[in-house]
Amino acid sequence: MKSACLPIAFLAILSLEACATGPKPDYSKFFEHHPRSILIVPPFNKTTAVDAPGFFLTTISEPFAEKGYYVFPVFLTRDILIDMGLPDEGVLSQVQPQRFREAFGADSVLFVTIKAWTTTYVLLFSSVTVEAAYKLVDTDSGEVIWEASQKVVQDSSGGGGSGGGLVGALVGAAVKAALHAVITDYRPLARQANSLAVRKQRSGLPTGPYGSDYQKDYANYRD
Amino acid sequence: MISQVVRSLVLGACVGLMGCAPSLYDWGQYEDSLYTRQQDASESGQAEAFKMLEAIVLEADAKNYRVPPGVYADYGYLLFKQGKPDQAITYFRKEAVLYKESKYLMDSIISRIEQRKLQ
Repeated sequence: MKSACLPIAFLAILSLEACATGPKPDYSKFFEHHPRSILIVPPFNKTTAVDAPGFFLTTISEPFAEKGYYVFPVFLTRDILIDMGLPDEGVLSQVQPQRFREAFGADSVLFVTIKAWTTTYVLLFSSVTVEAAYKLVDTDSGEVIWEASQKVVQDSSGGGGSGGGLVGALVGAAVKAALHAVITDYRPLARQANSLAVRKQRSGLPTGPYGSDYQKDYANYRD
Repeated sequence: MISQVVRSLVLGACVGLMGCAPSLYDWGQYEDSLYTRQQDASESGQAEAFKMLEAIVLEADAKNYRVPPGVYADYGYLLFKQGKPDQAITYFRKEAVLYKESKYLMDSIISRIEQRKLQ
């Protein structure tokens, strides 16, 4: 089996600006309910990229399942929600959380808000940003049991240094920008944001029932 | 050899930084199966995704691995969309047996498919 660590270690080196903000989270509600299963519903999109929610959704099952939770298949979930008359991400957060329990038997529901899904170009540099906020809600009590926010930035500042002086650099940057405009794939960044949000020590998600650290890693989140 | 050393060093650094563990599952091309469908919702996109899921299922069965959460159910869902309700039910049942958290939903999907067959 491949290790999930490699891309994360790479990321840690690549982008340490993905830092935690705000006070230390309180896990008492989480441990009170400790879900076994997570229903991931289509993300709420605060960006202008209309395709962001669909692509984001393809990257989010793995990190949560790897943390030991049962994750419902995301597209089946999306289609059932459409059947229920809840196609729009905006209305989902207003649905009584208990309805997700009745329809899916899910212990918890994960609401994601996509806050950035952008590429910016400044002179010779291009920079891709993905930012998301995560809110896990207990479907019995309706309480928020875990929250996280994660931003990942990747600068493609060239740095190829293959000579050619300023003109060469400019041409290189222009070519790179043109390429990026066509094929920017945000999925690696989305994947990294999701992994970091879940795995970060002290603010991540405690291990679920299928993980070997289930009920053993509580101390990491309490003190 | 060198790559193994690098790998273990990176792994060590990683465990130190993030406290992460080795993978629980072999995901194969699961993400790509979703991406393919997202990009191309037509029958051909679904057929491509189906092949990717099938590879995960076959490989896990052959090696006696635990299939990742949702894979049997997703595979069953694509079978259902292909007009194969009986095969679909087989995989919904497998999901329910492997992951009891899914039983409630799988049972409700199966009973809806069976009701539809009676009509």
